[in-house]
Amino acid sequence: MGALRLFVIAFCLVLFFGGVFFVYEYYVGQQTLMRSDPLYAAEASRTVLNLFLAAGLVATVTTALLVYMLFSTRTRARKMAYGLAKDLSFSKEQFRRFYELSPVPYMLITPEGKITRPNKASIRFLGMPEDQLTNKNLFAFLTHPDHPDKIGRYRARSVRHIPIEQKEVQVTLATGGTRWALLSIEDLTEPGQPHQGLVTLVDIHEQKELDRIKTEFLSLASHQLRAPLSNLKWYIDFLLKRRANALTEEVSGYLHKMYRRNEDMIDLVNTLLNMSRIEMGRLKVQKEQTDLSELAESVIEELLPKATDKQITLNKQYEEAVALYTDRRLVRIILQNLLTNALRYTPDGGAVFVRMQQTEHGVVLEVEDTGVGIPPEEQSRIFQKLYRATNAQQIEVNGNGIGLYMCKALAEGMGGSISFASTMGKGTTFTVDLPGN
Amino acid sequence: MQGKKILITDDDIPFSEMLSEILRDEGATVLVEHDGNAGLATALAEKPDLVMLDVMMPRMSGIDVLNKLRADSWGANVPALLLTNMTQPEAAERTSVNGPATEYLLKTDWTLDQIAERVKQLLA
Repeated sequence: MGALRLFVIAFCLVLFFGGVFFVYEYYVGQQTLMRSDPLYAAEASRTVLNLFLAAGLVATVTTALLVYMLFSTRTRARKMAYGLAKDLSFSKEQFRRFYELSPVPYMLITPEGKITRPNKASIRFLGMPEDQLTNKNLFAFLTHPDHPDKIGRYRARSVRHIPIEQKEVQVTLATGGTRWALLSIEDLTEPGQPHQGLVTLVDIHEQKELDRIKTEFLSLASHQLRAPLSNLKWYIDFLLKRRANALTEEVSGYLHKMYRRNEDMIDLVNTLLNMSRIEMGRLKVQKEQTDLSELAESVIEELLPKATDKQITLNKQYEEAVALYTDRRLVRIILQNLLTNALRYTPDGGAVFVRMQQTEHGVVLEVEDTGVGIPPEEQSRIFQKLYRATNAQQIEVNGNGIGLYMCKALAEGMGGSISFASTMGKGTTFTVDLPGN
Repeated sequence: MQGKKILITDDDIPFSEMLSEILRDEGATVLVEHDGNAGLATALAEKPDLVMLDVMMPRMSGIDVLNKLRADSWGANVPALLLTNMTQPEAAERTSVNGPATEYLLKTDWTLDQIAERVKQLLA
């Protein structure tokens, strides 16, 4: 609309000044002619008069148009201002009701933490009437069982008007009990007014409880599942190593088989526990200075029997001392999974390469195989939990579809990444980027 | 391990027996207890060179035994091996479990010989 109006105004102005200019030029021309021919002069003076009349008409119309447009713009602006003021007064009332009736506990505080306007939900949450709550210090209600010093830090930030976003705190209720909440404080000071902060407390008690129960269940389940497995592991180990004289060849052969199956079971339990830990966001990364070449060596040694069974050559292509500040156990799980996959999906007589390269930011770890490859149409799903490529399912029935999902979660958990390149029938290369800090 | 005294505290009796046989074969003197209370009492009375503790035990957990040991002037520095089937619990992270001279081993990750080897290294 604005552009159209500007165009019309400009058009009127051009018309007006163009007309004036044209009439002036014409008049000057006529004067020159009239001076040389008196007969022509009488005829011409009437034409000039007509022209002046026309020019006057054009000027009046354009001026009227301009005046109308200016006037109408002003009226519209005034109308808009009026409507805006009406809207504002409406939303102020709406905002008051929203604040008062919101299911989320809100309150206003002074920088020192004195509560000024608790809404209904915060009165309900703390279980204290408004007059008792007003002027109490918010921070006196807050605690943190694991990091008591945190509350003092939040208080110091509030005094300096620094916002606090979604911090877990325990709120002491009028009943004496406590509930977990997410504390946020936003600066809500209006210009020229004393400082005030808007406090929100989101009740997360149920979530925290569920979390605690899940964690406890996980520790207990892990204990109950592992206890019989570690017992079996040691009984068999003890018999094989300490009572070897009493065993026939047949018995010791079976015992060896039992030991291996038991180790598979231990691996599976560990994998499942690691997965639940990842899903619960409880994956702990414990970094330490790690000799990656030594770590790779031990994983390779462990898997060498599988490689020998299939006459696959296992090639180590890395310097002797590749070191990284990382989580030894997690890197081990990644390497173990990638190498197990490589050996599993590479036909007899193939080759597997393990490469490690120290970079500026960390280490790049590569596992390449000459295996069956990942079908292109399935490549985007290969890191999904429980997903197994169709050709992989045909080769090995017993896979669980967790390995690569876990590798990705672990690599990312350590701040790294994992990717791959694969050609059907030629092989696959997995690349893991691990940061060094 | 000639002349070294080792205390095993574990309610898993066959495990304690197998492990003590291996350690005795290596020349160590091995004391065995099957609950936390007895383990703590024996540790304080006998002052072994190394203490092995299970975590989930009757009467007193291995973590509690360790915390009590660490509060003792002798027990503060004795090498301790926590041997358990349980993933390191979060509560344990704030205790002496992560302190010096303490190791937390998952039983399923170690064979008996590997444990004996680790004990030998810690006592060397």
